[in-house]
Amino acid sequence: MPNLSRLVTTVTAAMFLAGSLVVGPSRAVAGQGHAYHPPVQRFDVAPKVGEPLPDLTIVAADGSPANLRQLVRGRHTVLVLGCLT
Amino acid sequence: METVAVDYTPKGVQFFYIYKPLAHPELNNYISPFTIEERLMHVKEAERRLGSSISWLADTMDNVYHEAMGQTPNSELVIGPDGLVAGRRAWSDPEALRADLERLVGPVENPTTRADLDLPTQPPTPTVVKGVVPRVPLPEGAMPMEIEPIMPANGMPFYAKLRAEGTRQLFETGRGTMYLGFHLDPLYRVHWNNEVDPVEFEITVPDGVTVTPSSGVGPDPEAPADADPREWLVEVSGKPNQTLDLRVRYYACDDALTFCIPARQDYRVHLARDLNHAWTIRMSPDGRPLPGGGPPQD
Repeated sequence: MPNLSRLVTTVTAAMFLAGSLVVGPSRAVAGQGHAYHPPVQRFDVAPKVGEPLPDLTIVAADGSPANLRQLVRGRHTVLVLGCLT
Repeated sequence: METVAVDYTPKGVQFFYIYKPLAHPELNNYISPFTIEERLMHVKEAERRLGSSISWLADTMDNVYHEAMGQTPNSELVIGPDGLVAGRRAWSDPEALRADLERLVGPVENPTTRADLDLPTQPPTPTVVKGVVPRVPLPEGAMPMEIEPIMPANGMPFYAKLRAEGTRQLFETGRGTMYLGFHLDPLYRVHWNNEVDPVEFEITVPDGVTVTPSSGVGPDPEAPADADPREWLVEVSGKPNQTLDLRVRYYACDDALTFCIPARQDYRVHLARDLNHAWTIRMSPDGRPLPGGGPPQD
C-alpha cells in the first residue's frame, strides 16, 4: 500500500511537471467550435520567437495584480503553464 | 524543470509557473475554482504538494494568458531581457529548456539531476469517506460545459460546485444528455451532512427549451456524512449556446464541525463546451484515477 501511495504521488507530480494531458481549443482564438485540436496546433496563436509577450495582467501569489511585461523586463525569464490536474 | 531552475536561478534567470484552469477536473478530487481567491488557494495547494522552489503566478479568472497561449495545458516560453520571446514550446520540456538557457545564458559546469533533489512532495488534500453514493456514469464523450456561478451578495463560497457536461451532439444541436454534478471543494474541507435535508436543484429554461427532469432531490444515504458528488443526467431539448438558469440548495458543513449552514446558489449553464478544460478524470474512493475518459471522438 505504501508503494501504491508513492506511485500515485509520483504519477501525479509527473503529470503536473511534464504537463497534464490536453485541453480543448479556444473558440475565441481558434474559432473552431468544440472540436478537439492538439495543443501543438493550438499553440500557433502564442507569440513566436522574436515577438513580444502580450501586454496583460497576471496575479501574484499574494493576490496583487502585476503587469507581465514589467515582471520579465531586464532578465531572462521562463514562464510555464500548469495546474493541479 | 526544478533542476533547470536550481542551476539557472543563480545565473539571474527567473522562473514562474502560471496557474491556469484545471486540465482534468476531478483528478485527485480537485474542483475548478470559481474566484481568484480560490485559484490562489489552488496555488497554495500546488506549492504544498510539489515542494518546488519555483514561484507561482495565477492567470486572471478570464484566463487571458491561457488564451494567449492557445489554451495549451503546459506550454513554456523563454523571454529575453529585451522582453522578446527567445524560446517557445507547446509542451514544457526541461531538457530542451536547458539547451535554450545554455545557448542564451551559458552552460552550467555540473548540471543538477533529479536524483540530486529531494522535493518534499505531499499527497492531495484528504476528504471524508467516499464511495457511499454510487457515481452516475458520464455520457460517452462528455466534456465540461460553460457555467457561470452567480456570486452571492453575502459572499458565501460555493462549497459545493456545479460541473455540467455534455456531448458533441448537445453542443451542436442543443439536444442531448447533460450531466449535472455538485462536487464538494476539498480545499474547503466540507462534507455532506446526511442528517439534514439533501441537495435539491431546479432548472428554469427559456421558451422553447425543455429539460427532463428539471428538478431533483439528492439521495439520503444511511451514512451520516460523505463527500461523494451528487449527480444527475437530464435530457435537454433546445438550441446550441442557449442558457439555462439553475438553482441549488444544500447544507454546507465543515469537517471540523464548526458550521453547518444552508446555502442557496445560482448558476447560468450554457449549452456550449468550456474550452478551458479537457475531459474529467474520476477517482476511485481510495484515491486512484479510474480508467476511462479521453479526447472526444470527433
